[in-house]
Amino acid sequence: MDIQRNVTQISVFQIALLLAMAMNSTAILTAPAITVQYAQRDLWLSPLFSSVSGIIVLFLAIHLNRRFPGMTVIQYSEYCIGKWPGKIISGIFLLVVLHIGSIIVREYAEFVKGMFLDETPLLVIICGMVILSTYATRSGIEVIGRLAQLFVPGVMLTWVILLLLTIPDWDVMNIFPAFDGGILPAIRGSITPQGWFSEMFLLSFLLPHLKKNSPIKKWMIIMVVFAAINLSILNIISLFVFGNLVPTLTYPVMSLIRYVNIADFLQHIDALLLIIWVIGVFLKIVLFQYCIASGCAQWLNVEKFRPLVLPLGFLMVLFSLWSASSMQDLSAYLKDTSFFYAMIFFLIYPLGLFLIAIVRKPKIRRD
Amino acid sequence: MGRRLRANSHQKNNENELTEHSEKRISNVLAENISTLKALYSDCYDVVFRSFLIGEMLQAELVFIDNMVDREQLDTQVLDVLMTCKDSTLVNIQNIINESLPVASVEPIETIKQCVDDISLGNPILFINGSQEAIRIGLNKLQNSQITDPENEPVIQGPKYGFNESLQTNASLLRQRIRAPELKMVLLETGRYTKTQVVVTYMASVADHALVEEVMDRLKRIEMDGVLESGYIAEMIEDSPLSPFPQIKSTERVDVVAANLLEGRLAIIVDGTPTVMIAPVSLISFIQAADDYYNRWLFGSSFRFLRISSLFLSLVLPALYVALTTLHQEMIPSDLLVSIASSHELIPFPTLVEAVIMQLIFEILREAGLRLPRQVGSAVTIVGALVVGEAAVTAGFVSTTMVIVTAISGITSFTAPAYSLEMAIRILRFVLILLGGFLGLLGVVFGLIGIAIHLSSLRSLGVPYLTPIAPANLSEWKDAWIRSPWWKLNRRPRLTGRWNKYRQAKHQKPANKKRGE
Repeated sequence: MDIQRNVTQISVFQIALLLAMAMNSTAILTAPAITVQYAQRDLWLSPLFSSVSGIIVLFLAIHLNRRFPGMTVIQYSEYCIGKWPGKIISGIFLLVVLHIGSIIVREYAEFVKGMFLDETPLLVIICGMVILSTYATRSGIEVIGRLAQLFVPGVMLTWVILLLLTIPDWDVMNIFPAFDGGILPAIRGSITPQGWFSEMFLLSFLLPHLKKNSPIKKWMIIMVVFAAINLSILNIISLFVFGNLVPTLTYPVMSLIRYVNIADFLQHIDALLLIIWVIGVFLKIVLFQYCIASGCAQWLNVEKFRPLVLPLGFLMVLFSLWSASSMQDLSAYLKDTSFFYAMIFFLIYPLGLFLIAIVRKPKIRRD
Repeated sequence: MGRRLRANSHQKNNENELTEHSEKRISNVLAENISTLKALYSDCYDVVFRSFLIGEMLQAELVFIDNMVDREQLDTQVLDVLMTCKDSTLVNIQNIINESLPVASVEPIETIKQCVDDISLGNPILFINGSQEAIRIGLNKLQNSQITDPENEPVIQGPKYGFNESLQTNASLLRQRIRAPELKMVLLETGRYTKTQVVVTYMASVADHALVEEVMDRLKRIEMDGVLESGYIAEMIEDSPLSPFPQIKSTERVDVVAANLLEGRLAIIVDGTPTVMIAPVSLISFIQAADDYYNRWLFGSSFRFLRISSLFLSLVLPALYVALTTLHQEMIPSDLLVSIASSHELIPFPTLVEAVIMQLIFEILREAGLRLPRQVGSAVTIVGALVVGEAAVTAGFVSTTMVIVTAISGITSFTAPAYSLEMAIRILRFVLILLGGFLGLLGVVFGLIGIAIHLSSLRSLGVPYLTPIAPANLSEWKDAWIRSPWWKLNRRPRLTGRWNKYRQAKHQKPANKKRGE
């Protein structure tokens, strides 16, 4: 009876907001600290280089979707590399997505516990979030899109206000000497964030629900550029405020916001950061959980993904507890391993599929 | 046991009788019809059977319910005319209708069921010996209640009258508001025993016809003993009956209903209640007040924005207070923290318990004030709020800041133009307070995210509840967050009015021209 009833669709704008939020939410906490290790004072340039891999994976996702309309990476891998090899690699792929999703949950929990709720058990913080993301995922892609639309504008606005409040503490001269060791350090600093950008390959799971004839390419490029610029601004502000101290901080952005003190009244506004960051990370976890659940359903040839959401949520809780023994473990993973992990499955694997699809031109059975 | 059995069988008999007679046609023997009806209306003192002779020869009988007919009219226009008439051609029903019944609404009817339906509406039925048809005479006189102010939805500027309990009056009030023939009113009947009349009304040229059909379907599916208020129906046709949020808007204001009809929505008028339901609606509809559209747009917009922020504050303020003071004291500016701490120093309860108790007491006061007779009600509020509150603070049971927080959250919730939304906020406030007490700020954020997920998945008759925020439609924000000037609001809301997009001509912004130019 209604145009939107019974059709689960998501608009290109909603996808863009969701991915941008997913991209930035985990990155904003640690990006400056990780980038600065290699890039030193040129850390603001690195995200622009990182965005290249974002653009590549989005290109791959869109073109593979165009070649295999209505299918996700789980489904068309079978056409590219044969049924059983496809199934096996897709299974591993899903496990990887589950693992990365769980690590995000853990990252969130560690941050909240470390900064705000030191006496609350980790499990409670994790479970609360996974219950919410399960609820949202079960409600379907339409609701996820709406949630992105509902939250992101407010989050962005708060974010801008928070950053503007740091202006009194800026020391613009901290940026010099720029390009001390040439352009190379900035490129090396861009490597870890490449991993985050490549997560956008999850777009592949959303594209089948996209409304027909949407300008997806245009919006995805806007989104990547926006995310990169946002990270850049963040890095440069951390540099302005902390100068040489950036490498010593775990969560530079957190310290940045804690630093704000205007007229002795507007202080300790890190609560606002917590709120918008939890919302952002929630959207990211929902995105991952949705991709895992719908991917699993396609992998098992089940029609509905809804019954799978809760068990997978439970697995996410377990994985997030297992994946790291401590915060140190976790940040070591984030700094070193995560890049290769994400790159192999979100960039190299789709690239392989894409090349095979071009060479073999697999036929799709139409029934 | 035996008695109950007998009672049961008696009931069954009665029901069988009704269904048995329902399809029965009227017989041409007068006595037979009358005995059928007398059996149905046994033990009903108010049903009158008046037998008389038409023109001194033809046997006839009038059946009606005593207090529901216009007796004067019945005497002069029916009994007097028929009894004194000398014509002998009156055997034919059609002749009687055409020649000797000076009443506007007269209609032949054929079955006993129709007779019963009409008698219960107050229409006298005239049976004539030797005729297979009876005559329904439209002389019912219903207890009319006065048209009064819509007490629950006052406005500063705007019409000062609202709906009342009579369906006829309500329909005519609406018809006076929208005089176009496109205003359709479809009559239905629900309630097995109450036979409540329900009118679905919509603008034929604007509303979605599929939606109208859907509403009709849902209404026809209702099978209950009685429909005594529109709330019965609302609960039976809602999309998500378990949600705390209202998915159907009720109002007593004629202008509000008219405005919503013009935006392509449907209104459901139920006999016997001044509350008219409007659907489909979105969350924003509950925040739009009639005043917004009558005051100048700048003030309409600012007040709407004020209302939205107050309602949000009302929802989160106590929870935030509890979260910050129990788990995140470092986030409160130090001067403020000192004054909060000093007021809370001697209080025996933790802040969470204190907050819940205060909210509960506040709710109890409101409920008591509502239930008591009006004269006593104000006394309760004064005693409760001032005397008990003051005493509790001086005795050191509650802190002054908590009193302030509770009072602010209460007062801000009064800004909701719709009572049903306010109730949702009051309930959710408790949930948020508990979450805030246990998980601090994180809990409050969890609560808000949960509410957001719920709202995003809600629908009101198929229309997403959060339109136009999510799914977003920026052009509709002109009448969501703010109320733009009328010359800007050219389009109807998309999801309810997309069949007839424009509600007015474009470019009507008054130009700043001097006279004579």
